Amino acid sequence: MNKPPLIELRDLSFSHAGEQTLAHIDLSVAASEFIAVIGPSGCGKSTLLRLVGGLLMPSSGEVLVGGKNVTGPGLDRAMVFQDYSLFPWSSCADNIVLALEQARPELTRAERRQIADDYLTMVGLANAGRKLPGELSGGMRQRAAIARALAMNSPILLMDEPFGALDAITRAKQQDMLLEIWQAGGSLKKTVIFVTHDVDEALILAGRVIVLGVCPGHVAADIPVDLPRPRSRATLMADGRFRELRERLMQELNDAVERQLAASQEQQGGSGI
Amino acid sequence: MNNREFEQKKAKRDRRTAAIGATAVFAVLTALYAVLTDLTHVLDPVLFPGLGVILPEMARSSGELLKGFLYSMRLLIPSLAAGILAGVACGLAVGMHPKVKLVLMPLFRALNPVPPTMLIPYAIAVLPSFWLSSAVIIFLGVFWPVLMSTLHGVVMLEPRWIDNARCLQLTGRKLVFKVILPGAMPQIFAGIGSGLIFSFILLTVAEMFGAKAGMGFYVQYYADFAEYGKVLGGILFLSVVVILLMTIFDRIQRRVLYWTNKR
Repeated sequence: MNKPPLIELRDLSFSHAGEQTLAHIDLSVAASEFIAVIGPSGCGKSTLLRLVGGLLMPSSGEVLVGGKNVTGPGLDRAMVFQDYSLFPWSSCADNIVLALEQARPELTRAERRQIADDYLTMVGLANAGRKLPGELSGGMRQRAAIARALAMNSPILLMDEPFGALDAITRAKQQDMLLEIWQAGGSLKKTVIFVTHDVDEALILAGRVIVLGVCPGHVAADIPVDLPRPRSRATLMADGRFRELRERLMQELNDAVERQLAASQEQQGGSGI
Repeated sequence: MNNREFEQKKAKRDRRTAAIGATAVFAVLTALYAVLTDLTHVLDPVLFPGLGVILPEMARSSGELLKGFLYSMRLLIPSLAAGILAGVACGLAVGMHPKVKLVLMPLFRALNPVPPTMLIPYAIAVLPSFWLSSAVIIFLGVFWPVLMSTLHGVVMLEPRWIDNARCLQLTGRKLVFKVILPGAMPQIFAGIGSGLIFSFILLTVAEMFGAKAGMGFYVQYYADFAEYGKVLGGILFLSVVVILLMTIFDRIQRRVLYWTNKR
């Protein structure tokens, strides 16, 4: 990992309405790295992603992307949210075309249509281009959202629990698809920050897992996932190293939750019963 | 897709039930009226002429009714269109600039509830022609509900759509036409719906005041001569026109808002 970091968070803090959600976060992500951010709910993992996405501005510290301070959202960072990356009034293909008009204005109309179709085919939605997002199942909708993010050709992909609302089987399929597409990038792999609360998901996908602690959100652990790629779900589940990492992550998360509980009890005690 | 077929079948069945039911209700009411007038003469024959009077009167004055219809539409359509366009444009412009909205909202709240009918005598006095004064009254009756609902629609835009637009760096025209306008469309249509109903009321009231033709004029004119067969014929004709216009509106609405029931 000698490459200069593509994304860098320096002493990043964020407060909203007088409450500190993130405190003193330092984090570097190299180009083509796939990192997962995991933590109990309320730890500020979505906030962290929105800060990198430029949808929120830090209270102090800075977010650097490619060495430049982030001042707002940019087309270099494609975002995929849990269930709302597409506009419900446009068909899937039109949603992608709109994103392409913004991200790749040099293309012709026909090229945009073609690329939209290509990416929809790539995620297995060859026939769903003319459908409205609301006419698709949750899993298909997320695949369309991923197709849009990929079509934009942004070097950075920010994903906020994209599979969080899906059932276990659909979720596994989506993970496999994402992994396959990411690995197919070869030396031009996208840099991915993937927020999740699912330990298995983090270990299957990521090369590094950041565990966020709570009250306020801070980096509790930064764990490299030294599992060989390409990975397959079946062999991983039986892998000793996978189970070791899983154990460790569970422990970290448990500690974070316990600290959260202790802190909230302390607060209640302080207010006097 | 079995589910979809089932839904479609159900919708078809519902439509048929509605059509048959409504026709039956209509037939019963018509028959009741016929019984009370032509058959038993319970109701006063001057004030409540029978169908045997009303229908031939309608047929006889069909030319006059059609002319009245065209005259009314020449007043209604431009006023309505201008009211909708101005309401949506102002609503979007003001709604997208929170500070402007903050300043103008008290004014809107003060002006919005003034009934346009109150302005009719004054509009007739101030404006040079009957057409213009009526058009302004109808315009206002449409403008306010559309403006207020568009403002509401912009406020109600889901934050996730805004996030999405920001991530795609949509600005200017594209932001308006690809995100804000479609997102606010459900509320805008609610406003247009009430504006449309207002416009019928205002149209006929305005025509009763000072027009020389039009559907409202027709009813008022023959009421002055106590020709209630023509009056009822005119009212019947007017309701058919209103039903047709509302049906067209519903069709357009269902088309534009197709996505809202696919979420």
